[in-house]
Amino acid sequence: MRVPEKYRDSVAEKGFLNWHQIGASGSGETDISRRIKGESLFSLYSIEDYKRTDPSFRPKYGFLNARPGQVLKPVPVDEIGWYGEDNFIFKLDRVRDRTTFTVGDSLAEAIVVPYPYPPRDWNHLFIPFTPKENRTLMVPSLVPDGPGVFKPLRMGYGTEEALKDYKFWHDIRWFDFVTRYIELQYWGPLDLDDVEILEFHGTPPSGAFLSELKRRGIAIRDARGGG
Amino acid sequence: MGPKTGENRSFRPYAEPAVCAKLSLVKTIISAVLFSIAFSLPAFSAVDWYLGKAGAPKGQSDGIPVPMMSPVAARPATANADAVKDYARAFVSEQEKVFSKLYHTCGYSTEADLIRAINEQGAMARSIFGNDIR
Repeated sequence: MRVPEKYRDSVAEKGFLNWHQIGASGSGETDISRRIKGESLFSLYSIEDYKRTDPSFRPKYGFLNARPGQVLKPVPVDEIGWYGEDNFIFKLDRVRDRTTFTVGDSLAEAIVVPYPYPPRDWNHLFIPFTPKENRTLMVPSLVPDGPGVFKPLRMGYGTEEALKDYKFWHDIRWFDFVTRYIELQYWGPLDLDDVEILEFHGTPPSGAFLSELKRRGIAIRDARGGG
Repeated sequence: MGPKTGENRSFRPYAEPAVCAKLSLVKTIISAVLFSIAFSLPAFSAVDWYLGKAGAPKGQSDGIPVPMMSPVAARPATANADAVKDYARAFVSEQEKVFSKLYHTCGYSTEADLIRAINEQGAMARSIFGNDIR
């Protein structure tokens, strides 16, 4: 999960907060109604019921990245770096059962594509990260990006109608841009206890924040200049 | 949830897309068995399932009910982090109930679409199964 480094003290004190808790998004999204609509759509809540859920329950967004040595290409920094300089990698055993994913940007999908309801296709909702076979659905949406390398390119559309929608958005390129990663949604509270590794791309951690990382045994990686 | 806006919580049975609707009971059973076998084997079996070699299920004719939680009842009365986490886990579990049915139904409109999507990646797509997508 990418977080601006200016929020380090807040992360140490309050944990990772979502749009609903702080009233802002790292992506610059300002229309809360769009986010509520999109999130309720993919989480199968009515808008009214979704608004009654605890804000800390609602998702914090991250992305799936490749471990070193895998055929998946790491998500390029220039595509997600603008979400923040710090990259927090979570302990899988602490978040696995409350994590979902989508192939591509879920908010963009939920907003621009007129999905029917109830869902008719596998990509019409936040997909549970487990069981593992769920994640095999990522595969057709991964395309080669050079020898031995994959990169998420698009949602795996199922209906002819959606395929037409895809073609439209793909043709204007913007859609292509916002779908070039596997998005993760973490549900419920997240804090530093859930973190395994911090990769910093900007300023090295220091002071009280560094102490909190050390106290929890969080590994620290210097990712400046790459990754 | 209404048919389009999701404004209420009265759920109707899943309306099957026509292209996915035609599957006999026998084929459904056979497909379910083969599907179970496919995912009990090494990862390449999953690719075979994708390619239709293992009898990919194409749909269900009885519709997909959409189970829902009640956020009002399940919402923690206080901002207790553990309680919210429990609720989050229950939510994801409920999502899985819906997703598992969608997954078995029609990830692609036709098998040809799916095969084409796989073939575009060819052997490279297969190689990904040799790695643990975590």
